[in-house]
Amino acid sequence: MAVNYIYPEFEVVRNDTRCIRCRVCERQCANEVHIYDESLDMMVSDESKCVNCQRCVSLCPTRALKIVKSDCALRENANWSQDTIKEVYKQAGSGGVLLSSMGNPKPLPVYWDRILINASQVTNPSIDPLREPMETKVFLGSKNGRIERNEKGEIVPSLSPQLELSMPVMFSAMSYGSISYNAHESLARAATELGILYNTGEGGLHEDFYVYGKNTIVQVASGRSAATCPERRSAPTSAGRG
Amino acid sequence: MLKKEGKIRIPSGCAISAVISKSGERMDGRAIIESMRPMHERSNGLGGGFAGYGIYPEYRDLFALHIFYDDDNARTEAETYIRSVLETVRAENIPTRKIPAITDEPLIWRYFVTPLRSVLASMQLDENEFIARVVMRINTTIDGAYVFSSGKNMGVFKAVGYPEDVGEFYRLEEYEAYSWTAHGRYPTNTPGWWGGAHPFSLLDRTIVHNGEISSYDANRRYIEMFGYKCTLQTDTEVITYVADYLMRKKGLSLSETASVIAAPFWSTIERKPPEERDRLRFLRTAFPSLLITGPFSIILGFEGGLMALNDRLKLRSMVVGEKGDRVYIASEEAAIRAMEPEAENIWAPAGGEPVIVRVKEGAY
Repeated sequence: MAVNYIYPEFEVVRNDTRCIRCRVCERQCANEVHIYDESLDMMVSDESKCVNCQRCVSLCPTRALKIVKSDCALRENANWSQDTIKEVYKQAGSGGVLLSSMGNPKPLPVYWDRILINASQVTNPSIDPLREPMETKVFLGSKNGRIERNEKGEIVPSLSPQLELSMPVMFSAMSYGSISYNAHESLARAATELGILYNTGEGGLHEDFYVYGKNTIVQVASGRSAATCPERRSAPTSAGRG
Repeated sequence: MLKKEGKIRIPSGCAISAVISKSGERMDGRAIIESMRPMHERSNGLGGGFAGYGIYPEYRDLFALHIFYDDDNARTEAETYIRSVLETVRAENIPTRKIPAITDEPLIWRYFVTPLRSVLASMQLDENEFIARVVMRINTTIDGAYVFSSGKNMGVFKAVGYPEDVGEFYRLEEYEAYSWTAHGRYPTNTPGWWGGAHPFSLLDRTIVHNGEISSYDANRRYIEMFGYKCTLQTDTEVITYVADYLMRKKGLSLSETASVIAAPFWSTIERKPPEERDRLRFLRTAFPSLLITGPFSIILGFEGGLMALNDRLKLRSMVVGEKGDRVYIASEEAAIRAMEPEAENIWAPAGGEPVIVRVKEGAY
């Protein structure tokens, strides 16, 4: 079972002088929060399992139990709220997307009530969509429009070096440091497989990724002392041909 | 009652045809008019037109402007402007014949002009660029006036109606040309109006087009950066300007132009021999916004020749035939046979393969 570093959301507050050790709470809790400890002759509670269903609270004959929202709080930040941070921890801990029920538990506006869906044709679709293929290859680079010819009158290709993308998508720059090694490797491999480019950001280029040089744009900026930068030599300085 | 979208099938309409004499022999307009008759059903009567080359030999060094005017105000305004920049040697109504099939005609005038030497010198342009700018200026700034032909020793004749009727209306049997192109329209996107019929022309280049340009807006946005304005509400107009830009301003040859506007697929380019592959890559990379996608069959007419071209998937019909020194091009073999029953070597060019026919040097 994975270790959970988040402080539990709820706390079980038991008034011990009221508790008559009847163990109803132990028998009724579906999540096995309450346990009778024989040696100490008292009820102990594992609040990490409590979901605040309030069953033990309502069944306790002496009303000795109370479930409260924990006031153990992370540092306040309107951008990175407690809930967001905890959800990220939970997803990282479980490796899966969190599932919850339908509906909006937050006091946020319902955007669907504010959108007009207007189906209209804004552009000419492919006339023969079954037979007209889409070619998405794009070249980036200056196109001076100059035509040079040799003595035989044939065109001499004279474009400055171009970047060749299999489709008009590039990953934006996220530095090694702002995101992890694994994230960089994912981007580098994805760019290579798709035939597009990713950008190292200003954190420098790990030497393990030199092998993806053909699909790498190296950003040389203030965030990385550019003195050594051997990585620049492995990246496309003159990338592809026009 | 009006059929809804999806319930009415518009066949791949529009009809094109052309005939050219490689020896420069002049032909009157009757044959080309006849070629449009078997293709009557390809049009819907909303446009027809012809272009003839070599029709004004007595004014061969002057530009022949053909202009539509909605009314006399437009004409006065246009003529005032023309007088300020051009020397007019002759101005007259284009002779027409009143027939029941053609109605609501605008004023149709022609002017044989040359740039005023002083203005030309002060603008430091060559006369072709000068005339092109005059045409753009009239079409964009003078309401109700449209220059629809602006070449030397050639002319476009077009109207709303079936092409056979348009030919009769303009009395094309009275003109003699070494090369004729023709078009019958089935508008796909835009209203049928006199200015929207084909051929579209700028200087001596004319285009007749069967098809639909999916890339119209991309092409238009790019070409308008170079001073061309698309005013005639028809996608075909842009091909004319693209051809003018690539050939006159960039100096590309006809087949190089074809390699830009009907560029082969990247996968095809990769399989070519190295030098050709590099050249095709260069052309496609240097002018990506001038690739024309969508089905098309076009005939580009110019002084001294014709080029016929299909889109690279050959999504519209085109056949070529010949007899003696004449070459015939049309959307259907029936049209070729209507011009020349004994036509030989009928063949259909491949998609993206330009067919270039030239008149003997000096014969035009």
